[in-house]
Amino acid sequence: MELEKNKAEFDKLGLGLAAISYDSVEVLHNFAERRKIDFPMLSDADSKTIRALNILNDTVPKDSAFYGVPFPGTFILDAQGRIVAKYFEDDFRERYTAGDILAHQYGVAPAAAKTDVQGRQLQLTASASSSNPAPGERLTLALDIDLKPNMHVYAPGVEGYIAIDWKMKDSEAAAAHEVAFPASEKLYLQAIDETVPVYRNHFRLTRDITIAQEAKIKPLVDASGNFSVEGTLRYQACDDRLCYVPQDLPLKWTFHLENFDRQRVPPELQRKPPGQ
Amino acid sequence: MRKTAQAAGLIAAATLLFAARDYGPAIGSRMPDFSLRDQNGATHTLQSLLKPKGAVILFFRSADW
Repeated sequence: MELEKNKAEFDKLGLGLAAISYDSVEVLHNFAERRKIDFPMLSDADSKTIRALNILNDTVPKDSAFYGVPFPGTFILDAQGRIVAKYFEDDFRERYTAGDILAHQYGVAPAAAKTDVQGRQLQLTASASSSNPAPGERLTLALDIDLKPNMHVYAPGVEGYIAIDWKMKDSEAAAAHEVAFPASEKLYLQAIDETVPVYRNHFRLTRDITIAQEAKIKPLVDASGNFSVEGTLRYQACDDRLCYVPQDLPLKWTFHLENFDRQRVPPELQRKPPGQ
Repeated sequence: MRKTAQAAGLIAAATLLFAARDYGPAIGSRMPDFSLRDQNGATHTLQSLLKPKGAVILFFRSADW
């Protein structure tokens, strides 16, 4: 489970961690043994907590064995137990991942699938919050950019100059979400007597991608189970004297597709529809 | 009357499918207390899970499906 891999990170940040489902203690025990999970998986077998939070999946028929499951999602709580953020997807087949939440909520740098790219006035490291996503998972991609001394690039919102722009190639493998740009700094340029929004030194751009559903992505992986997504970083770098030719840096992330675990618990532990 | 109710139900369902829905209590409200057993039978409460910086509580569909 992706959460188990990120457990230490939550610990380091001083955060408690638990995963709740409507499964019985026995089912959770069987699953945790098989997958070597030791963070608490909690059993809300009568869905009491799920109902108290008003996240019972009310589209499941009442006579189904799956009646009682929640809409999947994550609550971020402060030390007093107040909800400070929620991560839920409208499509239950798409899921936020722990790595994605760590990146957005706690600013943890994505550390997987790293590649260094050397550009003309900058160098960057492309990374992702996981290198082996499962279908439907939402990941964070990051570009950690270091400009050479005295260089700047224009930030979005600039007028009359080329702002830095990160495009993703259309891909059947993953849908790209919007880029999150950090706050820019206002720089006064004597040569042109203008104040412009720029980035200098080090800055990080992030954006999420959602991996396609199993049927769509399976045919796209190669013989070793890998697939890639590609993009381009466009920018024009300037120093205090002149601006350089605009650049298009090719970007690429390669992932290993994690297959769904379809192993079930022994039949006697499996949940039966109500009344059976 | 029943037809109308059904139609309203369908429209509500369609709206649920297409509109972003707000899940769970509002941001800023307190998580309801709970006391649940883990995979080893040990009991955890909301209070016991809260650490100095808070907690991350994930709800998932099922460990067996």
